[in-house]
Amino acid sequence: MSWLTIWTAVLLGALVLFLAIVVVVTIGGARDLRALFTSLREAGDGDA
Amino acid sequence: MSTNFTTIDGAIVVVYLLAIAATGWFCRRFVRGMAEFVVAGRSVRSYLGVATLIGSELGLITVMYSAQKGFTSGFAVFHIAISAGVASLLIGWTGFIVVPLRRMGVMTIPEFYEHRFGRDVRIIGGLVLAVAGILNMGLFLKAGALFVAGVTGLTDPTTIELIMTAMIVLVLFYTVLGGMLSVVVTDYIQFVVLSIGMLVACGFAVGHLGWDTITTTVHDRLGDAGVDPFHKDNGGLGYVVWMAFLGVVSAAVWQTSVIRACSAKSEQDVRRIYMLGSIGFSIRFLIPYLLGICAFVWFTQAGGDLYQRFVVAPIGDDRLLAMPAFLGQLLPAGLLGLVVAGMLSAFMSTHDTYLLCWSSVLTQDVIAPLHGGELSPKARLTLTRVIIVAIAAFLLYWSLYFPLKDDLWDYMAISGAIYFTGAFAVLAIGLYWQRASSAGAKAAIACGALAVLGLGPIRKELFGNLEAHWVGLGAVAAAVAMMVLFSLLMPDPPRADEGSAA
Repeated sequence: MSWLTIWTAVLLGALVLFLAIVVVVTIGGARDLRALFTSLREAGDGDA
Repeated sequence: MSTNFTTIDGAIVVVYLLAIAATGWFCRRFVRGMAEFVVAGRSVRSYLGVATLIGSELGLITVMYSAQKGFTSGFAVFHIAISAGVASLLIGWTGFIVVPLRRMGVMTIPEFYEHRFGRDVRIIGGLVLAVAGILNMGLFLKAGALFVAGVTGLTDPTTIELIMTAMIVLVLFYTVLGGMLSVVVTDYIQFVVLSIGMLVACGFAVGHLGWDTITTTVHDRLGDAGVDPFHKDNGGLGYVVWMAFLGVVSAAVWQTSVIRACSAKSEQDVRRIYMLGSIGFSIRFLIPYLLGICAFVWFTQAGGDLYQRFVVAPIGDDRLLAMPAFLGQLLPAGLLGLVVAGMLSAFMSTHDTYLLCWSSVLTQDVIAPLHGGELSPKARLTLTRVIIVAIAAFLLYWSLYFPLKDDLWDYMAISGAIYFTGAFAVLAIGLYWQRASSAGAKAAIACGALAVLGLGPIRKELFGNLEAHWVGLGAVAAAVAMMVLFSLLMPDPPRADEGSAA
């Protein structure tokens, strides 16, 4: 197997995986962001 | 030099940057103390952690330097991206260094130094870390200015300096007010925009040039050195090993990555952030390498003056300019604005993280311990904000007005190595070996400074033709040896709370 074949496979695999991660993390991150603000707001209410 | 950048693209960039600043401003109301300011109340869950980790590590400086590497070395540099991804995956899987640090509940690495070795090691380690870190980001603004110049075709240095000054002021605006909370929220938005922008740019570049043309041109022009990482022209096995070590260091020892672990909600989140983030650690190199390779093919095919300027006889910063100039000529108006907004996001997300990181290290690990830990939380918060502004002022001067003569990569590698060679020994051995002592830690930190010998002119004077990566690996080995030797020769007296964190 040539180096070029290896790098082509690496690049293609990484791009596909990254695309999947972008989708998953974008959706999951939005949910985490909402949870973060909820907890901070509750902590603020507790302090008050 | 021609470019497709139009007023529409400029408007897209300005609206986007203002929206980011407004979001950061919104977060200030939730900041009540240092815990919210520095580690976002330790409430960051895994998906958000991954977004911010990639958002801050995929910086414009990385994009610029990596594109330059791809431009000059072709596919052979891909091994660096693989090393970075594998290192992050292994660190997430094993929890090496980052999980014990999260378990201890520290906010910075020097804070661990004090827990393990005492206050004086924290102050020394904190000072070395902050100085190396601030110097390391000294050229970020310069790289940003070159990107703006390349992609927009602007040539007036005053205009470019004004643009960069406005951008650093925007970053300051939301980082000073909202701290890590602002950074986390804006990094999330920037992760989404940047990831999509870079993927689209890659698709466009490969689709336009054609994969066969890209591989054939690289092979014809660079030969085996364009694909084989072990080729002597690429530094051989030693360079591959050095890059693998840098992969571990950048994920587990570099403070701006570690602060993500410290911000995580749980140990499980730390592991997940690193394992999911491993693809991001690879991609942050791979995509810019690919864009650099495409720029090489583009200007090789263009021939004439552009071929002479960028490929045959590059002068000064020309090879750094090649990738943004290529994007400016390839992408259509509108899409170019979105991609530039994504790239400038990378610039801002790295700056906000680094500014917050080094200012909190100086406050928490140097100034507060020197005051005997008697600074009030409010005083610490104010001090951190003042230091952020001071560092930004230094960067503005250093990057835009100081005539730096060093090569960009030499400068980055050496300033970083001053810290991480010693820190790796202190963290790895201090966390996992009970007999590690404060004398050993001090010796290792001091030994790390030996990495400065790898700087081009000094190296040539002292070691002749010895390559820089051998000097770097030698400094790491010396730091580890000093840590072990001094720990055995000068052990710490027994303490009631002594023990490994692992």
